[in-house]
Amino acid sequence: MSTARRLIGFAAALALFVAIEHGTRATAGEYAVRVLAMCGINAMLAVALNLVNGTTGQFSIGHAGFMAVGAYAGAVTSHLLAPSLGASHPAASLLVACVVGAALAGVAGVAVGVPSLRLRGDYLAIVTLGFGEIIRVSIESFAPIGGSQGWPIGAESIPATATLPWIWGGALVAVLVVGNLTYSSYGRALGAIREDEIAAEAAGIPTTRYKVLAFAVSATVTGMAGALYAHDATGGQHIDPGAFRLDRSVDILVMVIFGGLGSITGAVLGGVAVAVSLELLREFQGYRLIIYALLLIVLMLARPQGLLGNRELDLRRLLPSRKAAA
Amino acid sequence: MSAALSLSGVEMVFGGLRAVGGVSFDVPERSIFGLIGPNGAGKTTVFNCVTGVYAPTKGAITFRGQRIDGLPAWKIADLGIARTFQNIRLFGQMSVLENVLVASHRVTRASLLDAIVRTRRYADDEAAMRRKALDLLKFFELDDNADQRASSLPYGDQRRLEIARALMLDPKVLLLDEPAAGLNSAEAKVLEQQIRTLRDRFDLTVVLVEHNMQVVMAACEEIHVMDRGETIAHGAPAAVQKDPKVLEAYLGAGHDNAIAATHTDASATADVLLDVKDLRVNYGGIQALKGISLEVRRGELVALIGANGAGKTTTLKAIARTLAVKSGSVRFAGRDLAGVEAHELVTLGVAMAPEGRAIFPNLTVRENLEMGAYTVDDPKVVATRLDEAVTLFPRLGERMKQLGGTLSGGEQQMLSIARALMSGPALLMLDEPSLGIAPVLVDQIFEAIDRIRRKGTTILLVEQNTRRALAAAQRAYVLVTGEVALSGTAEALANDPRVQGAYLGEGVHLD
Ligand SMILES: Nc1ncnc2c1ncn2[C@@H]1O[C@H](COP(=O)(O)OP(=O)(O)OP(=O)(O)O)[C@@H](O)[C@H]1O
Ligand SMILES: [Mg+2]
Repeated sequence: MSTARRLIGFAAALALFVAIEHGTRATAGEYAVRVLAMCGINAMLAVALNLVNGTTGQFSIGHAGFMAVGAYAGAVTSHLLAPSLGASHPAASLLVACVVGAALAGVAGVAVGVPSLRLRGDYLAIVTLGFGEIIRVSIESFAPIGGSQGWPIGAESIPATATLPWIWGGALVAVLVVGNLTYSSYGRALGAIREDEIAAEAAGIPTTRYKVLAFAVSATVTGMAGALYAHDATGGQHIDPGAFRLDRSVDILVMVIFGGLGSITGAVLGGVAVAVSLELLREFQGYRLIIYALLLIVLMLARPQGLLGNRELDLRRLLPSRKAAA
Repeated sequence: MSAALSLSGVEMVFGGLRAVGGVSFDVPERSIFGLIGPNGAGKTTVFNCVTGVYAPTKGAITFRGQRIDGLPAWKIADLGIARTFQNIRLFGQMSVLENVLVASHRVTRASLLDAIVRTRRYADDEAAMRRKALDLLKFFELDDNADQRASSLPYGDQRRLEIARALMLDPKVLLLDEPAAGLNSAEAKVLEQQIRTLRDRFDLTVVLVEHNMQVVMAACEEIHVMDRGETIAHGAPAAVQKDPKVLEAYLGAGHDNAIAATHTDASATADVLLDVKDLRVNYGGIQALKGISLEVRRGELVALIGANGAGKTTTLKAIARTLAVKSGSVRFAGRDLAGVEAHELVTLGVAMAPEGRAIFPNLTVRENLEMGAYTVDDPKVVATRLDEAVTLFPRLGERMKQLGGTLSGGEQQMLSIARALMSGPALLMLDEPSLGIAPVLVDQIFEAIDRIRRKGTTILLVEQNTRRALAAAQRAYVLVTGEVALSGTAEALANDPRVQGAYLGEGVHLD
């Protein structure tokens, strides 16, 4: 596929997302748009975590920390750009905020990954858990960005510029980047690390370097999701450190396991399913989390490998094949 | 002649154990070099030091003049030393083709960015690697299985796949750790020729660790013999073979010549203990077992023989209920095993020592043995059986506190058999008990098997070493591609020319 055709394809997808946003708002109202936006954010997060926990077989339980880094770095960037670029070109400003948020999260990913991924075993889980908490507590005690009160989204503070096409566009980018990486020679190397590290090394793969690479890409995509989340124009009120607790990391993990460890389309479905089911359960109020937990237990008993296992959902397989038609 | 690989004073100490105690040798460029010795001699540990799994505690390892000891494993692979593993380490969930492709990763020129945006360069590279990988698979006759999951291949094919993966690295030196394990004599002969062909075609230096003496003697130009970490002999195959120290420590006195037949003994009864009828198993779309029927009478030793991939292991697994059976019945002591869980079998009196050992790597030898006696309540019985295990395999007694995963291949095999005996089973199923076992010990293991049977345990034995199996068994079944092609008394089968036919893969002529 030529570069031009790919760009046209991407533009077409964005146009479709704009249409979906307007259509949904007109027919189902603002609340439905908001749920769709959450689906998109979740999909990004799940696709990112799946690269580490699914494809590479490592275990991170602190991805909320990278999301927080992306969210706050993006917000600060927008804040600084507000009088200049933000005023004249709000879209360009949001793009810069996303890039900065993603990049800083990626750097944090390298910083966390290098010491912990060298060792085998559970170190990564412990270090990422600690990292997530450190980030959250640091933000809480830093008043200029709102501290534990949070930082409002909207006029005068973080610009609410991330509309549905932005969020879904971000999810599309996440799927393309992570998907192409996973189904390439690099992804094969990551799979080999998951299957057998000693054999992977003997096949010439510098396992530590590759694990850090996967972890950094994952953190970067998570940072992008965080930045978009911070600029949520579909009804986001504020960002606050409470949103980046361990619960969030566990939620992302649930999405990945629900969809099937190792499956990208599964991660997207998992992200969507978690967003939608938590919304549907809202009317049960206090019982919401109990019902949610029960649903998860039932799912794990009925389908321990997750919705798709480690396979991908291939839309082409659902359509009548061209060969058969010919 | 220059040395491709040279070791000088290499020592590897684990805790208090000197696994390798100052070994020195030079491997000449383009030679096929044998490294042999009894179980636990330190051969695999030497490989691990050369390939960077361990950094030797002392000594120097040089590859074409460059010091490599202590370098990370991937770097050593990168320099051109490839290996296979004694305890097969494939990427089980990945396809056969992907397994080979993984090893091409270091030679690709495409960057991460190329891969993510799928540039032309990436596509060309990938296509070239695929062609190369398929060529290698073709050489090992695995190209038809390219898309199959690696873990679903039969044992012998998994070994060949490991060699193909190692060759994908374009190595200068290839280290093979027991490539002929689990192959019958015809297959081993093919392998031996393949090793020579590979050396010529790829300009390789090959270091071969192997317990199959036919292969070692035919393939190697020079042999280094170790025992308990020390060098005991070195030289040309003919000289090494006659060396008294090698004979005593490794080959044993009556090596393969005088296998005494025990099948004259008639302690078997007419009482059918295990009755298998029309057993069918499918792997994906492939029929692995196409209706196997067999019976084992109480007190008997029955052998199951056949080529690699004939379905022997699958039959044992189906009986042990560790894989899904499509149809057919298995009755044990009159009881239909349909619906019985795999773990309940031990309580009923069935124990299995599986192929590839499957010991608990993070438990000690003692704990592994105790796990085998999980269903035994009486601590006195457990203690007695522990004693018996140690008498059977004294090496295990020396290593009670060592972690199972760090035992040598042969030691793990001993542990696997000993653990199966700990439950005091009525029926013992042994899958290739001689796999990875040094020739001296093979004699001992078969003697032990015979003793176990005489004490009243019924045995179903899968074994590549046909002569041994038929000498030990009363009756045998010959499997060919998932069906029983021949059966009868071991004595009759041992003299039946068709058995060799089945073994050579030429099929049996049933008229
Ligand atoms: N990591 C380890 N920790 C402790 N002991 C070890 C470790 N690795 C190997 N050993 C011991 O060192 C000795 C040499 O083991 P090695 O695997 O090299 O034997 P081997 O010659 O390959 O034998 P085999 O023919 O049975 O495979 C064995 O007794 C083994 O138990
Ligand atoms: Mg070994």
